[in-house]
Amino acid sequence: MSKRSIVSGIFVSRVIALSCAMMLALTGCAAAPSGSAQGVSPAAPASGALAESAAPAGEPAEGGDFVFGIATEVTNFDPFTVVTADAKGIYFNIYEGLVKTSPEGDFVPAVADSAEMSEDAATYTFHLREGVKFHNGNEVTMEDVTSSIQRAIDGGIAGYANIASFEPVDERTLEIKLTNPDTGFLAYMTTAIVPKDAQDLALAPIGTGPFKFTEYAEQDHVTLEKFEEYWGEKAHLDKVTVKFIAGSSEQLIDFQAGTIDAFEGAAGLTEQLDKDSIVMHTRNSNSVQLLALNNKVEPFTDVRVRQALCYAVDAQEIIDIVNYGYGVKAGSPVIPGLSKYYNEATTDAYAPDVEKAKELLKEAGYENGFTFKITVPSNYQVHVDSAQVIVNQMERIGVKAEIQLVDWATWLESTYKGRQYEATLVSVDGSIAYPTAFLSRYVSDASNNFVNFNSEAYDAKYKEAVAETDDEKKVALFKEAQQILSDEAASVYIQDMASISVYNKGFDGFCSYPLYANDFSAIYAVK
Amino acid sequence: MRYLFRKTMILVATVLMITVLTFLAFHVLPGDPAQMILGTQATEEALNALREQLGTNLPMHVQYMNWMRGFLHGDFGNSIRYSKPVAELLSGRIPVTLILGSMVMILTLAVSIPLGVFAARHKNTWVEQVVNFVTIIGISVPGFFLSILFMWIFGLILRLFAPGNYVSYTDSVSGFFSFMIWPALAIAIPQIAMLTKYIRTSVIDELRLDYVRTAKGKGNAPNAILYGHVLKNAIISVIPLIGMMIGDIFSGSIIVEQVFGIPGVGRLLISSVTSRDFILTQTLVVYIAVIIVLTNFVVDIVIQAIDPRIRINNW
Repeated sequence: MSKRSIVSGIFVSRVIALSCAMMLALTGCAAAPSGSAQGVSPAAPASGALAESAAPAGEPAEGGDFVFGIATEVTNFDPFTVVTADAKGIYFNIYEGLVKTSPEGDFVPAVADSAEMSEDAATYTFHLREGVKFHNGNEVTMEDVTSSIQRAIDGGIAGYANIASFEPVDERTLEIKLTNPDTGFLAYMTTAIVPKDAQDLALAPIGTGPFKFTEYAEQDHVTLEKFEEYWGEKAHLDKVTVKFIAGSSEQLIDFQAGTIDAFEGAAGLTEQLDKDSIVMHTRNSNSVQLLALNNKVEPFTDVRVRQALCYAVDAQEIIDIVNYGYGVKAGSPVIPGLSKYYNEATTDAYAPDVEKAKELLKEAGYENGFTFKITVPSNYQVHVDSAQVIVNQMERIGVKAEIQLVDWATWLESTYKGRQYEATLVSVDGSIAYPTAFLSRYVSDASNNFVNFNSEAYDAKYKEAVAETDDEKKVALFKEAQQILSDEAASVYIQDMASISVYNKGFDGFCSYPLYANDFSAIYAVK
Repeated sequence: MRYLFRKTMILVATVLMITVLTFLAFHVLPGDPAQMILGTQATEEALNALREQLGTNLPMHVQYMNWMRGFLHGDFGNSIRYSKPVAELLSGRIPVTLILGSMVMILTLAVSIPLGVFAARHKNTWVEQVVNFVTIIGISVPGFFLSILFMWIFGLILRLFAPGNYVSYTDSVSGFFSFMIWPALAIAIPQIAMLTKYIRTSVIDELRLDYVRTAKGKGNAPNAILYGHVLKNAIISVIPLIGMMIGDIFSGSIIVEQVFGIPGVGRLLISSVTSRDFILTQTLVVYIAVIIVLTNFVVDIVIQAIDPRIRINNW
């Protein structure tokens, strides 16, 4: 891959990892037998073992139309402004960064064909790939790359604020200097490279990905078509239609009627389907469901009360009842799937223990329990259902929890931004597959610290972890930071919820990633 | 003329009041459209930039006045959620909802008038009991449940249509109607049930009146009396009800469009409210209000035209 100077020891391993991952991405995923769990997938759920049907791997046929149902509509496709998970699931097929995420969670070359990091992790050098074309037919130039980086900086995209300067060394080499050294900087370079003169990315996105955007019909669908001039392995399908279907019953009926070929649904829905006629793919949603406790509101100001709630919540029970056993227990805000950084010791730090919970409450002066409100966004059925289980679990320790349903707009404004709540049940994802995406919000003065967590020890540890350039030490520091969150019971961390995709038997090739992405280029019609 | 003028003033006042109420509702409701679009990962700078671009950084009353000013000049503004002119979003959707509403209206009249008369003719028999029972069920079943039931029975089991596969009338007129008949039925059933009950009662009431006895005394056949005199009078007395049904049909189509996945006005209204798209909601609400007020106005005039007993003062 890179014949150029490989400067640092860390980077040797990084480059090797890159090339290996690249090969896996091309061979492993494309020819995946159906039903095999791809990518970073931690231990299978303890109960309800993966009920994927073991269909024989079909031969890929070239061409074909594929219709995929998702619940949430995406209305704006500008990668520098809209960075929601649902939007990213679509972006993944249209846009590429200098590097992109592989199914294994590595960062593999995309618009750049190689990259180097200086020994002090403060300078990154990227070499642009020859002959990469945009969907409008133009070749990617250095100006496109630099203007895209500027757009990301202007748009406030995570990580870009750390860029001190970015200068082309020659026509195909770009040097990026960082303000604070960061060995994990490649993760941020997955943000789209777009033509410098692209005007209306919101409704007319242009990228370099395997699919080009052709149509968006409000409230109905987005159409993607195969990009014939893609630099890498071209997509199998000719056309992908992403259909927005809000209701879960509607999704199920549309799937059974054959209007859609696949959809992403809740575990409860898939139980209603005939397992022999479908292929089910389970992966992690890559977001951690938590009972967020407002650390500034009585009685959650008391660490013992927060700990008591951690002991009271039985995550496995929630997974079993609400998600039919699909899901991975989590003990920190970092997704367990990010196994390199996830602190495993936190998973069972608070094994369910009613007696211990009662004891802690007594110490804190709440011997007779108390009453609190759980604010739940009503558009997420899985959280509404989980909250009901939690209400029962709270009763066991003599605490009365009440559910307050709010719509999503209200949740965002009052609960998330306004921090006007006692407890709230939601799942939090990371914008990139890197621990800072999950941990930065717990820094005391972070603007998105909606649980109002406040710990000097944590702030110092987090800062140290980000600044550390030695990979091993960095990992250890991120784990220690998670340990503080666990010891302090910042909130009750429950699970990385399973995301279940159901395909009819006409399509195969499903490929999972450690971030929210639907890789349509891997999907193929079965011969 | 004075009547027409008064009605027009009432129309304007109603619409104005509705826009003020919508404005007040949005004033009280928490929710930031920019945050809705950008999600929880958005930075403060990005949020501010988008708010400025959308105009949602302005105080609500300024947004309202701006919208009103544009509206009076025929400019409905840009949808906040879809960043597109509202007029453009509406133009494709209005025909869909209007056709759906008309289909419901036709279905309702075509079924409930004969059924109501039939029930009245078989007063105090088991036939009437059955009709009563069915109409009560029809009135009580919620629209979304009927929709799901229809999709399941007629779509999945009997395969009479493909659920979720809406066909635009620009692509295929026959495909459009053979899909739309099911949502139309789902909205129509509660309306049919209600109208049948009214027509039955109204026919029975008419049959008790003196002119029926006179007609009988003159030797007219029972069927000639029923269809020649009674039915016409009975229908006149339910026409005001039809005016009210328009409102019900609209609210019915809001839910049913959502379930069947029809790109109509009702579905757009739901998403405009949940995404706090103030500009779009205002325009939709005004549009729906105007239609309902206008149809009621037409109903008033029709009643006068066909029934000489009713005369509005100061005509």
